Amino acid sequence: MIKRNLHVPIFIVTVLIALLFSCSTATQKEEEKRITTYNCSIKAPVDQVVTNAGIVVHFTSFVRDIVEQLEFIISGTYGTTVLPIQLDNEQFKINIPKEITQHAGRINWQLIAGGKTIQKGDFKLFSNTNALKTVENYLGPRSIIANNRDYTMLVSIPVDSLDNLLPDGTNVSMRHQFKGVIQQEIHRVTAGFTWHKINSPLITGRLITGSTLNNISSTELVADVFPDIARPFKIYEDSNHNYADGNEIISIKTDQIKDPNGNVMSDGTIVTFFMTDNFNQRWTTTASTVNGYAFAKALHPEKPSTWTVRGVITGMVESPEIEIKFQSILKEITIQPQESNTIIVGPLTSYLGQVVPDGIQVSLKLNDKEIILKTKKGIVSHTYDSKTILPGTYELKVASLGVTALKAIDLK
Amino acid sequence: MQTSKTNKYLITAVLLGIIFHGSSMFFTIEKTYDALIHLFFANHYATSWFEPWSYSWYTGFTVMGYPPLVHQTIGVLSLIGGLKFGMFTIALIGVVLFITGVYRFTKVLIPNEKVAGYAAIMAVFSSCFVETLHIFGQLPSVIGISILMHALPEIYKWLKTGKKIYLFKSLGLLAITVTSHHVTPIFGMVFFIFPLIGTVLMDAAREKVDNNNEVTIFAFAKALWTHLKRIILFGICSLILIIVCILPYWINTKNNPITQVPIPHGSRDSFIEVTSSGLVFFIIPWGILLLLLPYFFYRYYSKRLLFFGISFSILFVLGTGGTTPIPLLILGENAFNIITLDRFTLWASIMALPAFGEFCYRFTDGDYKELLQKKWGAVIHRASGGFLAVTFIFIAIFTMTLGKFRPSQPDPIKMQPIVNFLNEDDHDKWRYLPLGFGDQMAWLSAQTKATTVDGNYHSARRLPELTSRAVERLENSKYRGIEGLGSLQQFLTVPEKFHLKYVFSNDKFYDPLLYFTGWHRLSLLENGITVWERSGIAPLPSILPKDDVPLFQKLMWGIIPFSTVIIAILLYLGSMWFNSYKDTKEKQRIYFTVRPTSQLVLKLLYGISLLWIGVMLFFIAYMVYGFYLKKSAQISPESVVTAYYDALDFKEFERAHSYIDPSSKKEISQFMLEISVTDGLLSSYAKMDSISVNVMDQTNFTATGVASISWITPLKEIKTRDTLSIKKEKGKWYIIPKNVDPDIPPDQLMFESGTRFFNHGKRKITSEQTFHEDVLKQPVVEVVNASLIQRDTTFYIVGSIQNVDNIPADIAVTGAIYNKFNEEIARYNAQDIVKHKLLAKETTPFLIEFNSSNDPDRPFEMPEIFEIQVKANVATTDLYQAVALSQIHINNSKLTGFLFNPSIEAATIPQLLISYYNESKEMLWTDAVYVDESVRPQRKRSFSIQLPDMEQPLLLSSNLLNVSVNGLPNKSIAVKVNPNRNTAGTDEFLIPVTGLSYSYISISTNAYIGNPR
Repeated sequence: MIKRNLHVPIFIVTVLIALLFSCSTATQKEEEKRITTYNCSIKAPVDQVVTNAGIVVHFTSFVRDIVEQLEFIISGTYGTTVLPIQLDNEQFKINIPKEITQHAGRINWQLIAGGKTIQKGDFKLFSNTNALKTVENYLGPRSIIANNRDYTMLVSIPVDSLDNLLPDGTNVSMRHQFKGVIQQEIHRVTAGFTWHKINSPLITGRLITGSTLNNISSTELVADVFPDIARPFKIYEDSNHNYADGNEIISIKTDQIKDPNGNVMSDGTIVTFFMTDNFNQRWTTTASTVNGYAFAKALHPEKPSTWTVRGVITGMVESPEIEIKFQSILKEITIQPQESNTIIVGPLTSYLGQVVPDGIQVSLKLNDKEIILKTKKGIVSHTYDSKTILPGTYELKVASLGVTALKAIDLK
Repeated sequence: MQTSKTNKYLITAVLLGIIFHGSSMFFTIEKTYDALIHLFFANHYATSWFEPWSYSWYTGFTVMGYPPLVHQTIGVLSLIGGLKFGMFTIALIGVVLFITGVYRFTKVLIPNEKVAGYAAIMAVFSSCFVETLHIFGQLPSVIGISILMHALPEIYKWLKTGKKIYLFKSLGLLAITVTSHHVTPIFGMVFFIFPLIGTVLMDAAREKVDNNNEVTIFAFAKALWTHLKRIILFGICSLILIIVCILPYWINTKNNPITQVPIPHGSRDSFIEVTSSGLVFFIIPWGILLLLLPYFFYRYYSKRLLFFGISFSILFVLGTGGTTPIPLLILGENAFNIITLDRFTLWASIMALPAFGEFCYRFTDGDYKELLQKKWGAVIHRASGGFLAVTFIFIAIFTMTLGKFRPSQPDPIKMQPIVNFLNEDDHDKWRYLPLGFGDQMAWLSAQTKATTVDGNYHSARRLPELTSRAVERLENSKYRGIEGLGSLQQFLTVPEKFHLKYVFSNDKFYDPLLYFTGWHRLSLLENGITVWERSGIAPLPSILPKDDVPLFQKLMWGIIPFSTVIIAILLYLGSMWFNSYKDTKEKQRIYFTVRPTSQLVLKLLYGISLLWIGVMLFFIAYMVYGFYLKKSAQISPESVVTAYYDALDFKEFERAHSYIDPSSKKEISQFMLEISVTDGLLSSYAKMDSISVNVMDQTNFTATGVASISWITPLKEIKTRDTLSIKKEKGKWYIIPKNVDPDIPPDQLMFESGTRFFNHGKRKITSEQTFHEDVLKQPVVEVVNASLIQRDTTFYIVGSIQNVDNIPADIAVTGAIYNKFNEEIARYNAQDIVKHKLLAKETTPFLIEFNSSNDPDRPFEMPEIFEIQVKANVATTDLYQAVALSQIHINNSKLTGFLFNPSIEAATIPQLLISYYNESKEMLWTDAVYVDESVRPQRKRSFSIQLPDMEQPLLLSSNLLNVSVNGLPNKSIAVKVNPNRNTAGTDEFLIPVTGLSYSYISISTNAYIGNPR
């Protein structure tokens, strides 16, 4: 019983081992036979136009016995290969495939027998100027700047129907259009291609290029002409009023920013505005241009001050400075009569007598300890905790919107 | 091999098992930690059976790092009904094998059909098995241990009888175990087979004498001597099996030893300190078995099973992880940090099952029943039996549904939109990175041929960026704190090194990090996943490197595992066909029956058991009380503050609102409104790491609480200090809400006009390479200044870049430093200290840090030359200017001011790039400061920054000699585009400072907009 059960694993193990060993089998090399004389030759191919039908090479003489040892080696533009000798109607021939014959260039060939070259030669394949396909165009850079330094370059590569470059000296007509003006130049192909340097126009716009040769054409390629570095611009302020109420937006605008040739800056160009006030506080705000204009927004200050503003395109141009004055909205701070330890400041009123906007900061300073409160309906209140401050009379300093008031208070 | 008489308990157990596990696994297994990983491996074998190299993960890894049998089987089954069909089939087979395995294992230990039947039924609901299958999804481990249990009776019989068929059968089954799971047979040798050999010898010794007392050490040694040949033969054969069956695995282990930094695992924690680990890795797998520990020890330390007793004790102790220092001492530092210790608890509890079966049998049907009924009365006995049974099944059901209560995985993600995206327009020619996918990333990998830098089998990781850190996956790096995010940052900062172009984000936590490292949002897929893209990344080369292995290894790997199953089946078929089991009588002779024990022992066991159960019940009650204390948050000022922040952290706003002082009249709608207008790094992208509450000025009814909290955010660690007023009302403590900022924006309706950009990509609908006319010119940017800086032993390149073109640019700045022999020392990209998206004429500072900590073995080298390469591509998004600086003032070293948002988009996370200059206005340093809260339209946010009193950084060299932009020399750009560069803006841009080691600073702003309109 036991032995019978052993059969299966033994079989499987044997098969596995056999499988492993069969993977590496040795091959023996055939002995080379030596033949000394060869009496074979082919009719050498002549220079011709590329073709996608292949080229057949016929033998002028051959010895049937040694045909098996013949090798035809061919080197074209795309590499070297060995071609077989074929028997057709009792005639031996070599078929050079279309993969080789459709690329223009020089082709070298050798007929070899038993390691010896018995015949060799070369021939040329010319591109087919009678069957043209297209003009391949390349343009770069695709965006240029409207000044005298920049240019773009158009490269044209006319090809025949089998994608071969055309011979030197072929004339290509290269054109470009800008703002309705078409310019044309004839360029001669050198080493398969020709090129044309197009200097940048001094106005922004789109430059369109194309090339033709006889009846074939290129696709349309375009380059965008962008404005040059800006020239100095001016800035203006625009606000509903000039009160320092901390709750109004002031706009700072540029005039239309242009480059020295009068081109408007492209949309999305960033302009930085720097503001400094007479208390040495700074504001920085950025805005990107739309049609050359940039609008920056800032919040009115909370105390009367004077801003100095400058607009800048970093490292390039800046505007002259302008000054903006903000005037106070608060005449005086009212502090309500004290009840217990609670201090109530306000209502603070603005320039029309209206209550100041919510959120105005009020600073209470007692013994150099400052508390910042924010107004609600013009009023702030604070209760001093008798645990942290000893009872007694103190001088309270209240400051808001640039106005300061002093008041003596009693804490219990 | 079944006995001729069918055991009805076993049939019941198998049927119960199929119903219970079979119906529930469709809801659990896909959400487990491991099952989808096995699915990924299975898909690999289904598509390329003999090729062990997988490109899908870790830029390529070998699947020879895990025994293949289970994966290959799923792979084969997938050809019939898909991958998931294969997985569920294997799981079901595992269930059946486990139950029958326990049955057969029990029959070896306690040779009684009924006991074995009881044990099989208990195995169905064993919580450790339920956890392993339904929570962890460890299919190979389940299959491995089940087959091992099937092998044990065969081993017993071989050693006992010396019949070769048993040797072959046991080896056949062992081979399946080896090819399913490598750890099981190795430790199984030690913990299951060694004690089994001991038991065989005990039995053999017992047969030679008349009663148990005569089994002395001498008799045992004699039995050992007579059985030594069989033991050695079995030992050698099984050793050969373990080596040969998965030889490629061992070769791979030797060639690629696991040298990575150990990854923390809950099973190594101290279960007392980390109670959640204690629950998952100790309480749940043991379950009700814990109550019966004294009985198990009593049974296994009987003379016959003495060796199982020792093995059981060791397994029990090893399973306690880091609670005691013993596991570390036994396993040694290295093994302790590689092996997950939960498997020891699994094995221990499986080993306890036979004794548990026996107890149940004796309790319901045997001698204990009579005893206890006499002692307690029939009602209490039945009630306690009912209680035990209900608790046992309840724990099993609770374990199975644990994933529902404490989700370990993100919600199921529909993968089809992602797969479609990757298939579209050759997107799979780049690598991708999933974020926040959990273990579902393996399921995505199984469905696409696109590759990722991440992976889910961390032993196979190869990239030093991954192995040098204790980060399991990049995908869930936020759970590994700053270290995990550091690892992720490396990949996001230098994505071109890995051809990483797409990130699929399922967790908005990572979004700010992606934004500030230069990624941009592409689209929101229909399954809610955000696709992020990095421009200017080259596609993967068509031929990727791989570690090839010899053909014989590939053949062994592909052929042996499956053949082991076929051989085992043939062996069993053979024995069933030719050798159907006739000698049941002989079998009865082999095993011994349970003997009644002495009254004294019984009394002692009864006493100890009761005491133990009492202790355990007290412990459970204490735990429940602990949960109650946690739940009732308002009993002290500390607890209410902690609970309040905890509720905010988990976005449970209703709970948070319940801690707010009711007398403040803050309705939930007002509270929610106030919450909804707060946004930003702190409130939307932070995870609370730790909190400590300090209570001051406490009276009977009021207190002030200072909460010091540290938060993990994708960008930095934030420490906040909040002061809260607390008051007591009707015995509960409440938080007094803070006042809302009364500031109102000036305008109700805002108008804004601006420029937006769009790039078609390919204009022709074709998957061919983009046509020449569709390729945009790379924007021209200019490096304005650059310097090599040294601080301590770390080197930096600092400088500034301007987009001098008329179109927006997306820049990637690479820096490299070289020694005096022109050999590269380090290369890195500018991470978040640069503005990646620049409008026309916009300028940004940048800083590249060359972190030497990646390679501590590298000697310190002084750089002589530095190089900068800037790559610019057309940017169309994330160009919005949302914040402006206002009222900036420097007083001594304190910078104060406001951020004002003049735009119509909320600036979710504002970033300030602060640069420092020396007195000759040369840039020395740049730093990024993130403002914790968002700035909503037309509102301002105050900030204050303590300017660092740093030692002046060493300026090593400052030049633009080796700077190139888009492959062109920077100098030629400077000459051509802006030959007359001037100092426009410099005076206003630089803010003078006094009394510090630098003379000027400048501030540039940038902002992440979380929800663009």
